[in-house]
Amino acid sequence: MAELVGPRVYSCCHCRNHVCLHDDIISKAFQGRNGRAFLFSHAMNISMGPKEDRQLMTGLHTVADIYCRDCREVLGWKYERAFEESQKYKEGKFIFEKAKIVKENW
Amino acid sequence: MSEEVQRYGGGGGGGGGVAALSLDLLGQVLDRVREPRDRKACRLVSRAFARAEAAHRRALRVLRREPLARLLRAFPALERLDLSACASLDDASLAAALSGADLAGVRRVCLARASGVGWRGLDALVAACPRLEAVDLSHCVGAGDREAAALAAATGLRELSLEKCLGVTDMGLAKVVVGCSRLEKLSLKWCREISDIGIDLLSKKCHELRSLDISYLKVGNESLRSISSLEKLEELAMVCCSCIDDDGLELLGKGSNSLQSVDASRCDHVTSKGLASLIDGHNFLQKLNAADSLHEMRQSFLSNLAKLKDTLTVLRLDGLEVSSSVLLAIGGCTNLVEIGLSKCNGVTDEGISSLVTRCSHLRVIDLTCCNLLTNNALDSIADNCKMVECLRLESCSSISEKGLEQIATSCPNLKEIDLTDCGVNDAALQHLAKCSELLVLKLGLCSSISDKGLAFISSSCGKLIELDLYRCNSITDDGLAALANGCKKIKMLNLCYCNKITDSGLGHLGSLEELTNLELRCLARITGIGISSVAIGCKNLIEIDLKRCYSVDDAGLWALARYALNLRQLTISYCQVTGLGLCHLLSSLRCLQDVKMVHLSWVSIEGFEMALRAACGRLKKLKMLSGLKSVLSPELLQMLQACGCRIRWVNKPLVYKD
Repeated sequence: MAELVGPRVYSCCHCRNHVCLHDDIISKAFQGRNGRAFLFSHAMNISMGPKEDRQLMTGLHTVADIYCRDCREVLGWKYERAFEESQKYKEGKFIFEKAKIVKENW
Repeated sequence: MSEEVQRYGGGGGGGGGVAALSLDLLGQVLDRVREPRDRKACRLVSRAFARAEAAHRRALRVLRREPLARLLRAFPALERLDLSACASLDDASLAAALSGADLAGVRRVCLARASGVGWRGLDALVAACPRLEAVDLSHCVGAGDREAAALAAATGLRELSLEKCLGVTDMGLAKVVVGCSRLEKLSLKWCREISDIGIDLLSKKCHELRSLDISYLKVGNESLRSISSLEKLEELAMVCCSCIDDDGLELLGKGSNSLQSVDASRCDHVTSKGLASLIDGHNFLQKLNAADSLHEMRQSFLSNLAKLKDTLTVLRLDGLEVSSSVLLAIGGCTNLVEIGLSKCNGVTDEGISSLVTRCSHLRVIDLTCCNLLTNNALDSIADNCKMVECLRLESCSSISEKGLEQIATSCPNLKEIDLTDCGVNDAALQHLAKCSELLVLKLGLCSSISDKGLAFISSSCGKLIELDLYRCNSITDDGLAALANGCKKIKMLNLCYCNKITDSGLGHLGSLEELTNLELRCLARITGIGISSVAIGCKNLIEIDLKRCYSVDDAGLWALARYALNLRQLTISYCQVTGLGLCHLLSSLRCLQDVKMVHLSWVSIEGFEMALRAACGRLKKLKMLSGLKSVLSPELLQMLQACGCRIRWVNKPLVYKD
């Protein structure tokens, strides 16, 4: 469990498990399934679903849904592979939907 | 000026005019001048005006340390002293300034974030101000028990904020509660060393307590048992108290408080059962905040909510899974003024309709991320809640200009609207322009908004204070020209990623005299020329964000150093700055406290050393690349820390975005 006084933490909206840090945000300009989403460089306390190929707004990607490890709420996805050169920077990074995460200690 | 003065002024030549007024009468006239800028203008009229204003001045906000002593002596009627923005204030200068000044009238002192002030300064303060009633020491993270002991000597203290005073423990709290038994309002938010023992003593000693904040503390149910004995307690905040659960709330519910407002948001172990028992005991609850703590809603809570139908005015249930029946039940509280349903799953048009048809007094409605809502929900709101002032609709992507037309037509009192990520267009802004009382308008991520839309807004929303155009990349310089013409009162403006903007657009912003916060991230076309216009014209600029303005170089920073003398917060990450420019900037801006400078690739290690040494005593927050931690001299880092500066080291890769 990340220390509360210190870096800004986001939690799962359902069970308040700590899942990512504000400092790890790479971009705030992504679209998730239902609205705004952020791209994070790291994630914690999550489990991953199976890899699948998906046609997203920015092209074909191999992604895996990410779930909160405690309550299994779908929080976003992880980019496993990008097929276009300009999208390669996303590989290994995580998308968390804004509606699924809440500010924990700030 | 008042009519009184004008009558005197018209009364013929010679000894007539304002000079005929006694100092006291003139002072009373000036008391009625409210706006700080107007008061400043009055001070400059004549010596008599300056003397009258000084004799009557009740509030003072000091920005620099050097004139502090002189200022405290100049205003004998002072009641409120704000030293939170006083750059590089420390114990020695505070104590020196306080001695010799007559501060018998001072009742409220704000030292928020004054990290250089410790117990010696507080001792001097308490000794110099015998009538001290309220002290704000929030965010002085180094403050601890010794500082608390110093404040305990102020026996008349009624309000005290120790928020984020991380060093305060049960010992320090004990001294405060024994010394200041008349405390009415106390905040211990984030003072995580405090335990149930401290809270217990507090409850035994401070019987007058009306408002208490124990948010983020590791206290448990025993604290709520103690708190339940505080008979006059009206307001209790316990945000993110993870050791508190339903049993604690039940104890609180059985207590003898006059509780009106409870904030139990983010409490992991609180469920609707605990809240139900809380309401059971306090039928006069006015404000209830259970955001982000509940997962499901039991019937017991909903039926108890009905008991509050006459008194409940504020209800926040953010993050809860709701259904139409839940919203219908909430609608039973017909006096509701504020409702929070941000990130609630299951909020539908029908649910909103059933809520607002009975709660027509609603003024604040938060529906952030309620993405099932359509224009029908807006129609219901427009039909029923004519007094609505604040509407938060971020990420409600199914709404459009039709729904907003209804709102704009029926709700003339609209002061704040958040349409971030809603995909609104210029037609929507044409409708919103009818809301002439609009103060805050958030249009982030609405890429279909163009200069035309801005022209509509600036033609009639002259009271606008805050405008967020984050990533509205169709905006050009012409849009800014319209804004500068029509919205002269703007204080906060976000133009991040509006990459069509050039120096010419910033030139227009130079006429916004009230501008205090300006965000210009990733505007690749702006250069030092644009920065100069802003720095020269916007004399009240406090914060500017220039991250990724790749064309801004030393010339731009020179302009800031020369003209933006009130600047407190600056972000220049990725700017083309050299060591020379950085050094000049940090040594010239005497109010600068917070600097984010990640990836200044043209600044050498010597450059950083010199620049940081120049501003050492003033800086409070720094953000730098973690690689620098090992190359900057340890004595510099120690010096910075000793002066109360906190450094955030980040590990971000060098990436250029367009």
